[in-house]
Amino acid sequence: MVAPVSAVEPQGVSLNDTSGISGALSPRNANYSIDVRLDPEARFLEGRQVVQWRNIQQQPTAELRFHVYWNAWRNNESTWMREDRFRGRSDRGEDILEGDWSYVEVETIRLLAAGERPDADLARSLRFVAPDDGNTGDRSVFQVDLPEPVEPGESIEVELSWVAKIPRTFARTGFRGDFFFIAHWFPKLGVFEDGGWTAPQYHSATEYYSDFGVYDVRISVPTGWTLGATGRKVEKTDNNDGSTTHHHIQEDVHGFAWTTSPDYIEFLDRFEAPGLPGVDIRLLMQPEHRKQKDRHLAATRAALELYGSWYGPYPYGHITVIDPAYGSGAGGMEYPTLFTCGTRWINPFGAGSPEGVTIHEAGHQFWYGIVGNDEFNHAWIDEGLNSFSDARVYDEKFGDTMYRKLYFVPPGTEQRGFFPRLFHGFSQSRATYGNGLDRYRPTATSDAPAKPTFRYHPATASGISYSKTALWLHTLERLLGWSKLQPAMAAFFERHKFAHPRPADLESVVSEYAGQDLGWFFDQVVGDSSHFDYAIDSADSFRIEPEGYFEVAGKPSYRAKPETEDSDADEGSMDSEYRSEVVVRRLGTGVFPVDVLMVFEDGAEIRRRWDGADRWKLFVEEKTSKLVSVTVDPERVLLLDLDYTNNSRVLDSKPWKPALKWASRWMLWFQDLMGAFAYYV
Amino acid sequence: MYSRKLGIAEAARSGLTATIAAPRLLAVVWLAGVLLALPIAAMVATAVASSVGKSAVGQSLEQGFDMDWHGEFAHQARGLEKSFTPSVLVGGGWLDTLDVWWSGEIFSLGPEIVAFGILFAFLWILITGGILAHFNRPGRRFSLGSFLADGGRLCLRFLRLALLSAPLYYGLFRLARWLFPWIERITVDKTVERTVLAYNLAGVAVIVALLITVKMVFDYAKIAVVVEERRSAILAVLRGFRFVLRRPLRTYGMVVLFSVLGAVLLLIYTLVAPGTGPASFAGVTLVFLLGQLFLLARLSLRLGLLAGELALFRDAL
Repeated sequence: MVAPVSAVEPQGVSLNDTSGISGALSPRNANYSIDVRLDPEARFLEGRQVVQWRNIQQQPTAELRFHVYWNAWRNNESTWMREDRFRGRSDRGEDILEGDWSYVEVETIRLLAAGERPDADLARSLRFVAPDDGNTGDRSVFQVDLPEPVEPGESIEVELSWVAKIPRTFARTGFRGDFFFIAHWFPKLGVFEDGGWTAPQYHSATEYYSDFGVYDVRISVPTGWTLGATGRKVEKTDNNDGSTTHHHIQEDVHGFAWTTSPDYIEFLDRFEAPGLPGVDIRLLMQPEHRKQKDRHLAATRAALELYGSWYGPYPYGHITVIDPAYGSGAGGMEYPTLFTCGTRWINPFGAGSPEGVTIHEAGHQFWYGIVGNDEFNHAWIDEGLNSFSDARVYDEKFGDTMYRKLYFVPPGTEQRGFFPRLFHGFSQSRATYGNGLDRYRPTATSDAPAKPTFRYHPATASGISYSKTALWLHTLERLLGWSKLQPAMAAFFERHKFAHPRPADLESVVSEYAGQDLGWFFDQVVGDSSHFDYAIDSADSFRIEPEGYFEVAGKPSYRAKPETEDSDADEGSMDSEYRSEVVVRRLGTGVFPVDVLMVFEDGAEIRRRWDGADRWKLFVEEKTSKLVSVTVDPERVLLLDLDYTNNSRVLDSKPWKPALKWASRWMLWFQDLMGAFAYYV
Repeated sequence: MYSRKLGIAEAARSGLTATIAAPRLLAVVWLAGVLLALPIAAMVATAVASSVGKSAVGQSLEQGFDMDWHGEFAHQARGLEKSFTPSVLVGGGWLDTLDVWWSGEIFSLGPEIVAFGILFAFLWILITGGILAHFNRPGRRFSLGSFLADGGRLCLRFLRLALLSAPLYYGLFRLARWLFPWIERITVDKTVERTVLAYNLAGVAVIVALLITVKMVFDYAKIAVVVEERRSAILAVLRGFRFVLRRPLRTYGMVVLFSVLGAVLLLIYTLVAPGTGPASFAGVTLVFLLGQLFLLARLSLRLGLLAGELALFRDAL
């Protein structure tokens, strides 16, 4: 049995009217009061909720749209499952056992009486809609009709009761054994904006979008099990049926996730930094990872400190860090005031994990949690800004990472290797590895970021949303300087915290702080799928022959080649001995201003600026010294350049030397491998 | 002369002594591997040189490794070039090899690698005849002519043995591809990685034990072909199987002993193997020679095991 929704409201929080609440950080127009009970044996949830929704738009609406995310995994024909197969995981459906699927069944849905408006049963009008693709097999969004429109500024309360089957983890929510991670689990309103509901179906490559509000949630789980959840715990009550009800409340968030397991061990810590509000950190870990406690805490503190100082303070005063169970698939995900990391039993420091994932998900508290953009349509905003930021934090706190390979992958399984090996000497920098250049490269022309994210090709969406954005932000950092980009991002954060910014908002604030219209840049990196590649096409440096026709006293006059090349008389007649000619090409479709740096034998350097617009440009220098090397974009400002090897040319290069060095090492492995083949005969 | 009831250590010592006493044999076998690998390595070197071109990246690759360049190289890599990964460039990449050897994933490395592997396996069939005939010959004087003649004389019989063993290995790797997904299913609700790892290690133990068994049976079958001048591959396999079945402690024990010696050798090489540092001509040569020395030592153990198995077999006659 699910206990009825409590009539007692938490102190200082009114679920009926949150407009004008003192201390409210957000509009608080979508508030949820939920009671839920976990049946761990049946892997079932039973819930009842009251949604209080206030229309903060200028238009009325006579309908409501709810997400029921877990219905994405109730059959093979949902849009999520179809797209997931498209991502290249076509065998996934065959591996799903009967008890692994999930669903949410809404049993009752009523509009609660308020004032003169009577109570109304909305269940009869409940119907599943598929606004994105018309897929009748998809039940991830439902719509109900209201007896009368909700006018601007008006509030309504809707009560729902539902049951839900918990999936074996899909999209980081579900169970493994007696570990439960419960996210996107209750019927949740879409966002009413621009006269309509933004409530897309659940797609395989996108995430979520909701209004801010107050979440008042009571969760009943077996007594003795540890529970972690969004918000702060206000009460814990042992029931006489072997369960314990945990009461959590959180204001000014747009979601609520929780986890429970009998195995968690808890560590408490406190983040303190000058100029930033303190934050209580609660870390729930798997016992076999206890030795990595300090690494998780250090990474969380690093994110709170640097994101806080760069963009704005973390306002909630508490954060819960979850180290999920092995193989649960719940790792690496963000939820308001709570996030999951992910580590392994053997995980030496240096390869970027768990520090990287911890910083990333903690960073999502800022980009996603506080600045709540529409992830269905513009996932690149939070994922990209956050990827850029987490790489920056990691670099500042931990430096480069090392190449790592996981060994002992059980054949025929989806498991990853158990034994990691770090390769010293194979270091990976923030600029390229941290921002994900290798992930971006194969997806570079796949989709324009401006396209709605849920319409990206599912297999290449992350390369665009995460990596491309991080790369062009870092490019902006190098172009404008951090001293301009950081205040711009801080202003974007400040202006759009607890709101739903759109791409144009980011462009306008960055242009404003850059002091220039960056439309040309955003048009290419957001508005288009332009790819960038500048290259040295040719470079030559040759002695200027003193033979030929030259202007003498206004007339062309023939001068013969002197008998000896190093004739003093000849040298004295010429200003320069060498003419250096360099052709730089733009091989990509994108245009970006670049420097061309020429280095000469005498150590002199000449730097020329090119607007990069034409398809090629010739640079000519005449000097007494020979050209040694030339590089286009020598500081690698343009991190989106897909091929940086072709950006430089060394005139006296010996490519066989590195080839010999590394191929001889490869040969050693090859011989060893051939020996392994010989083993079988 | 072999004493009756030769122990593991004695057989192993006998095998190693025989190998050390045959430096020319060792050199020929090693050289065969080098000669096959050299032109293929040259193809990879050409691909690297072509990718680097006249770029300044060449200088950073000379000084160390350039992961940014490698990202670009890997993106465009085709065929053999795909195997050019950081993990195979230090310490001989033996962990990579080990990982694909036991799991059978070696046959998923790409058609080029597999084709060369099969070619080398044929070469090894030819060589093994020469090796066993040499160790079986009284006085054991090595001559290249007799080595090749013996290899040629025995290669068809050994080829038949290889063809008989192929379905067994295939079945074994099919078993692995059934076993580990099964383990994945039965551990699907285990939340502790160490527990899941233990299940998988048990699976590995089964697969490796079977691999070793098949290998031993066919090794002794080859020995039976050489020592007893057998012509029937099937009867030779049965002879090898009976031999292993009747002397499990000594046959498995010797494999374990040589595996331990191999592991010690790997450990030593891993400790002394050079990193990614600058590449002078002398440095590159030294790294190459050190690697070849390691392979030569590994080869010695391999031949030592064969000679030891031969000693055990003859001891039982």
